Amino acid sequence: MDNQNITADNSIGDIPPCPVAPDALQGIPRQQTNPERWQGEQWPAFVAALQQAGVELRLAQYNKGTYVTDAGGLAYGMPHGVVVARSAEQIATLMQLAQQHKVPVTTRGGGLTTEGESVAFGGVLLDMTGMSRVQHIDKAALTVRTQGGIFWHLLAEALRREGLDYLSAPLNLTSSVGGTLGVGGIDVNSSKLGCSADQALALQVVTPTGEIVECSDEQNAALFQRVILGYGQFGIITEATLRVRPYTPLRMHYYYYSSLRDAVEDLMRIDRTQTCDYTGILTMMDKAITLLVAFDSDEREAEFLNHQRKTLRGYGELPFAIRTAVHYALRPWRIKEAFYLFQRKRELFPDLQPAHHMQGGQMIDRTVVFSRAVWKHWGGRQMVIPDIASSVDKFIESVERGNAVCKKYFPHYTLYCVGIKLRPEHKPHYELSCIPPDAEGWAYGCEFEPMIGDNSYSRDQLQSFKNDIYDIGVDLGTSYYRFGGMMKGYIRRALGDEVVEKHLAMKRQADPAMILNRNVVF
Amino acid sequence: MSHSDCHGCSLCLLSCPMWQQRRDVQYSPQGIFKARQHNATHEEISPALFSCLLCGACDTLCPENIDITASITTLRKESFAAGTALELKDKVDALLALSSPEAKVEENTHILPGKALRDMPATLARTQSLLSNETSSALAADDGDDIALALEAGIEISEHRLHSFLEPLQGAKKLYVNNGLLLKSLRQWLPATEHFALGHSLSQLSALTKKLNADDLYLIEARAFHLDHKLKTTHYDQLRHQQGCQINLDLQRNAIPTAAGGLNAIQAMLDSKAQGAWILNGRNVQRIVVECAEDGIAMSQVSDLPVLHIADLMET
Repeated sequence: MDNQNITADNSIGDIPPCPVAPDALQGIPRQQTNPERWQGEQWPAFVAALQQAGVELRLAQYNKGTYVTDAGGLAYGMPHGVVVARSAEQIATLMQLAQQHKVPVTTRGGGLTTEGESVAFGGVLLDMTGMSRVQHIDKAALTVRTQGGIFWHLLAEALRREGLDYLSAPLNLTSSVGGTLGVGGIDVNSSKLGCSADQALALQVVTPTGEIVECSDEQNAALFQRVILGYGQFGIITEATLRVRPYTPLRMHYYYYSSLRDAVEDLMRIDRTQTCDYTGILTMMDKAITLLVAFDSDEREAEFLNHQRKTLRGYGELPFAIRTAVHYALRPWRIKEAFYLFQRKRELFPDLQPAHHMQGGQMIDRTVVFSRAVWKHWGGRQMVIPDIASSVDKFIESVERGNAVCKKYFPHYTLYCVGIKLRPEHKPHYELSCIPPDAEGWAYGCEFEPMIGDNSYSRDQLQSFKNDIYDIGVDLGTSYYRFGGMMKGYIRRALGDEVVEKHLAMKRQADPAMILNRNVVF
Repeated sequence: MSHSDCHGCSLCLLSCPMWQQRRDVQYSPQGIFKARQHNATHEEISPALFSCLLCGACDTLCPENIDITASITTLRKESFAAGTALELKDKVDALLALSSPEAKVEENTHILPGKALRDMPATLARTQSLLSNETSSALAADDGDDIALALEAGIEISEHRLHSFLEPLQGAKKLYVNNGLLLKSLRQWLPATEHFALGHSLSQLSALTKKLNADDLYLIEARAFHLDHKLKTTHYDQLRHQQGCQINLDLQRNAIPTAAGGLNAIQAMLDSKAQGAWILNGRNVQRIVVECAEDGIAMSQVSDLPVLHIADLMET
């Protein structure tokens, strides 16, 4: 790589001492990674250089205010200026000048982070949604080339017109492809197809020093490995080539449990059989646990119903309703909880099978149905969703301990569990990511989300809840899906110094001024 | 709920024609609302504010249930009051002044077809005949095109003009209205009358829809559709399944509008050709059937395919 544009600076790698008092976090090794919080030095010179280079920089308060927080709604920060991404060349110029003037650049796609990862605390906010067009669909090769800032939903929109669909993507309409490839991307078919990041065949990346590089497992493989699941540390994804597949509607089945352990065990067991195309768990507290299974074809569905269904301990809807009614009839002092479950089911379930997205009993637009349900029933001004990503062996304990934490803090909450099939050849991609280092075959993730609703919780309380969940990860040696921003301190604690130091060294080499997404991991 | 309730989820971007074209959050309801929350002046938001087609797709998506189109209209009114976009206001005002109300027609059912359909006399005659199956219907003497434009622009309509428009319609039991914005307001102005979207009403006639086939792209009139989204989605989905035709619906079941007619015809802020190209992108069809005559004109400009008004299916 050509690093000529980088200012020679002897302070690179010269990290000042951590400003936190040594006894503040007993037993936790700490090191200040970035030299210091950026105070706007060299900003006027940078602005002048950017303008001279013809890159539009928006400086008005109302331009910057649009990006003041992320989906989490807990981290607030204001950039000095905003650049709307338009081309790889424009971004390359931006990055070259940002390196030269040591101006932080924070990239943002859909802004669906929850720990402030896509919030700029000064510097430039690079809005990648400006690059969100599908470039080429190859129906024969089953691939698509798209710009990195595109929302998965818009990609699905373009693919559907060709009778195609993406492989797997987050259950959220406005996640961007580039952002997702950088962090993983989990769908209810990840237990079969892997995470979204595993679907990337090639990328065009603008490096932190402003070079435009095409990379894949065959070409510039080291960069590809770092950028995939790299949390935006090693480059900006401007284009991506993804695998796609023929579109199929979904045949859904729900099984209901009152035991979290039974449900999780069944989930992991049927994932091993690979007889389902989609699996996941969604709960109402630990009282009504729903195991979702779905299929891409009638044959797969029939095979499952004939052979695997009888091995599941979950009930059908009616038997479970009767069982639950009896349970609460014997415990009348918990009638409020029963009422909540009933109400929640009544509101939620119609939205999981809306008539206009169903045809002949099949779901024809899973991307829309799941995502809209997520927004409607789990979304809000503050989204507090700490999670744990673990190996198979540690998953049940992770879920049960996380559930206990949820119970301690909130009357109503949801757990969402899903498996991720790992690809052994992608092991280099997984290092220092949501995929835990000890995972073999599958990794599992569980999100713990309080139903905040109209209740008002202090920021302290929400943070304390998150810390309790993240502490389980440290204790068990797992990883996290949401992996950075305000919780970045946990990365070193959970994954250890060695791997963090290794990646920090690579980061310093790739990004000498440590400007790209500097508040996310290191 | 108003624009100050927007918390920036970006869902409105997904079906927003101006965002689709520009890929710039400033050109979206979210961008406009967030800008206002951060103290943008009317002048600063003016380019985006007056690019909005008021198609109403965002209204169906907003998780905060903000009446986005009403908020946009309110902001437009405020803009004019603040002395912004006066050139546009003058143009619309001039059109308002040109209108001349006519005499009352004594029929129970009135049709307000709009100028573009009036310019197609044979199609208009078929439309009138098709909607007169049960009771005779009359063409309204006054379509209220200027009023629809004023509603879109956020310009105050004088009491005199409004009175002259509504007076002949007072006795009507049913109104078939081509323009979705006008339909929305007529429901408020004449609550005792039954109001129907003209295109949607024609699409319920099996004599017409049975002539649709898998080679057709059927264009729903977006504004009227989004006004009764839930109800009409079921109808059009059935139409699609029964006839196999393609429809200008996106995955959200929102209708992708053309940028034809209305304010965009006076001051082109959106590229109607690009909009038509997006509607056609990836679709393998042989014919385009439209509910709204303006949409037909717009699609003729971007495609060599035959374009038919739905009423003209009678003649095929």
